[in-house]
Amino acid sequence: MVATETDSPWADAEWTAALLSLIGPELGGVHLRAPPGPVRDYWLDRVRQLSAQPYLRKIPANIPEGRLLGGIDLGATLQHGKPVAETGMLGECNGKLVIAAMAERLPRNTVHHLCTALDDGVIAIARDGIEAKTRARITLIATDEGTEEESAHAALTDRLGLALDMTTLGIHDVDDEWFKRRDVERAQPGLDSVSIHDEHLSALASLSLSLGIDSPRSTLAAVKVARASAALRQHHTVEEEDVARAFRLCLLPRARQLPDMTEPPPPEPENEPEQTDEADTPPVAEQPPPEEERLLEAALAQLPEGLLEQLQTRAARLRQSSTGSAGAQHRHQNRGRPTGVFRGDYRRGGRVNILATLRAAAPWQLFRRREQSENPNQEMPRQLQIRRDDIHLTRFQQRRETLTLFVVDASGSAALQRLAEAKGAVELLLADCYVRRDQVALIAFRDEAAELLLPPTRSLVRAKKALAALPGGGATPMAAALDLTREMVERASKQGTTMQYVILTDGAANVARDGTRNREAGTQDALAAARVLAASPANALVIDTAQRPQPRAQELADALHGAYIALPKADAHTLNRAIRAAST
Amino acid sequence: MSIAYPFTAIVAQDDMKRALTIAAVDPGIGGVLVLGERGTGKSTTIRALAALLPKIDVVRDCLYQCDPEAPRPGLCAQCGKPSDTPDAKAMTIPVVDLPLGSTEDRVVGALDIERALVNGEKAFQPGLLAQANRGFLYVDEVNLLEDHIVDALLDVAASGENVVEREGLSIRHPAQFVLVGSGNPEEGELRPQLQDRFGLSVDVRTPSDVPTRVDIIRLREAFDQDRSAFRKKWARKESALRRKIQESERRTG
Repeated sequence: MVATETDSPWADAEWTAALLSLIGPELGGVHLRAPPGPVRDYWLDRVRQLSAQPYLRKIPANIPEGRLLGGIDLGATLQHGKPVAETGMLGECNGKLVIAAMAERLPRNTVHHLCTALDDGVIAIARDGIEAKTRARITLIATDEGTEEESAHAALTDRLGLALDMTTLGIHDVDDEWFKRRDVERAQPGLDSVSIHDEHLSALASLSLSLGIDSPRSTLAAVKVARASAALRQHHTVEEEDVARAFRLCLLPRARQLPDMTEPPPPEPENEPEQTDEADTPPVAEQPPPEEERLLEAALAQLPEGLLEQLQTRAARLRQSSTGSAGAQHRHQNRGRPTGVFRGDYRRGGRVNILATLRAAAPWQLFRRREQSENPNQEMPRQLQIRRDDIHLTRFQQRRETLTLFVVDASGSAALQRLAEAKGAVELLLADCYVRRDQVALIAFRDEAAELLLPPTRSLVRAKKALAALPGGGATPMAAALDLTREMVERASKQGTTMQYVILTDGAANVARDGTRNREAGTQDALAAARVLAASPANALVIDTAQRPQPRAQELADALHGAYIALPKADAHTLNRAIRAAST
Repeated sequence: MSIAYPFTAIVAQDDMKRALTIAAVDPGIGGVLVLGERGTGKSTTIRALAALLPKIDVVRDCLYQCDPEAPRPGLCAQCGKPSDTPDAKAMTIPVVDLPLGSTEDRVVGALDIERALVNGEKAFQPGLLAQANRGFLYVDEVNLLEDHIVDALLDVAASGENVVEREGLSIRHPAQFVLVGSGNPEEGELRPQLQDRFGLSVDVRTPSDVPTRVDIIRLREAFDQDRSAFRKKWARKESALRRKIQESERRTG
């Protein structure tokens, strides 16, 4: 018989391995947070032993879509003279346990295909002239080495019934083997006849809700785990112990909030509709029945110390990252990381992918030759025939670059001392831009004209030099500066760069567009230029460098639809925060 | 290949179910967009719809499911020829999946590779758009669809006709379908042009009360244990809704 104590840190790992072996396909798999190392290797060995699958296939994070799904088998197609489909990795792994290595690095499309396989057990492909459905019922072990910030995609982890965190386990925690293969085999026949009481079922449902778990999939998995746990213990009914185990292995690791044991749980604060339609909000606030409370207490009592605090930080993190994405990415015609190929017209630009083009052309060669040789005047041509339809282009993906443009007022009105302060502020911001790998550029305006002192660069040194050499004094040609800014924004958006600009000025424009010195015309022209600039796709921030903040800089910021901040009140941190706020 | 979960056994999610049945009654509505978080049963519901839909009459051996009763000009090249009344057969309204990662040739159709290789003849192999004619075209995670596939879809969805010019082949065939897209809005914006194509848009959420959740789990467990028995149990409700759709269709049409 199997040991049932749960005080060993290794207990969860051992149970997870046994459950995967018993009902893996129904659960989808496990989200395994563990660094590479002997503990993880040992655990995977245990899975191999218990599942009687001596060899676990591994899906590398960078697997090409064609290999994952399958497509046309070019060699066989040419050999047999008819299209032959090649089974992709998902199809090959049908009925097996599979490891998805570094799940936090999986591209979105790979995640989608894994999800489809987990949902339906079938994947449909429609590519390269092949249309097929392949059985792909897999049990996935998604190993996640992600740090605090990155984690496997939520769409994937949602479909993996179990979650196991071994990051805190060392090799000395590894305990004896509790289960043998024959325990799993013996549990199999009794699985369907295990019954679960209604109160246990609703306990698991309400526990999920009180932990803030939205998706019913986790609850469903918990019910299955509770049954399987009973079956592994050779019992016919789910008991409290099984419910507690299901809670620990399926629900707790997904918790987004701490259960409140004194008050009824708030009805999903994130999804709460606006206060105005209170009538539509269903009355959810219900005191959990005593049975659940007891179960919850029992489950919480089993937790190792410190886990609650961990949970708290993780819950906070999950809330933050729930809407996050893996950084703004966009497709670019010929720069960045290649992410695939598509059939396209090379005349519209883009880089031709020779290999993909040849692959596309290969199956047609015989046919094209035959077609040409039907014309008796021509000899059977020997050379490769490539038609326009074969041409494939490489698709690139590039992390969207950010350019921060500083527009510095170096006129006399922005007194020299203030200019030094503005320079200091810009230097601080530059350092921050450098950390974020942003590009920076610098425009200064004084006397008659605005000048691009520093074209977009990543060099901090160049930026500092340009700034140090900036002379001060003279009139304020604000309109000219804004026109030059607009030019820069347009250029940046053509290159696909996200841009923001920071204007440091006291707002006292006194040079009109035609170069005449006139405060009235200067201000009018500046506001007109600002309104045009406001329509362009860039975020604006106006930093008022005047000794006593004046409404004119605020007016400028309003005309730009930008943020406004007065320097006298702003220290470096406030500035940094303001810039960040403006750039989101 | 696998047995679908019955449409009528889906707990709650009334908006989504209503939108889909409305689209089944009148395809002219112009598509359904279902946006929601994970685990709200988006895909399950849409797959369930396929098993619910009534049958339609199609021309036998027509690759595009042409309507034998329809006026000729709107039909495919084969069915459009003036001839005797075509042979008809009944088939279930198609619900075609457009999987992510599909290549353009399989979506719009291309030269049939097998016939080209074996017989050396040029023949058109219809794509997913042809299969979806008079039915539904379902794109899961529609916001992640490749731009060039979206372009092809938009063009066809607007005109109701698919035009293919490839390898010296010139084909046009009807492709009128109800576009059904689903996605998680947290994961990326939908192109405005594509969003515009959907006549109905529903937000789905997971039910947050315990009894409903318990219902969901109980039903799903029963389904997983014996799929065909579960379907049989719901057969009466399914056919009742099917009849209702057909009646409504007659009344509106």
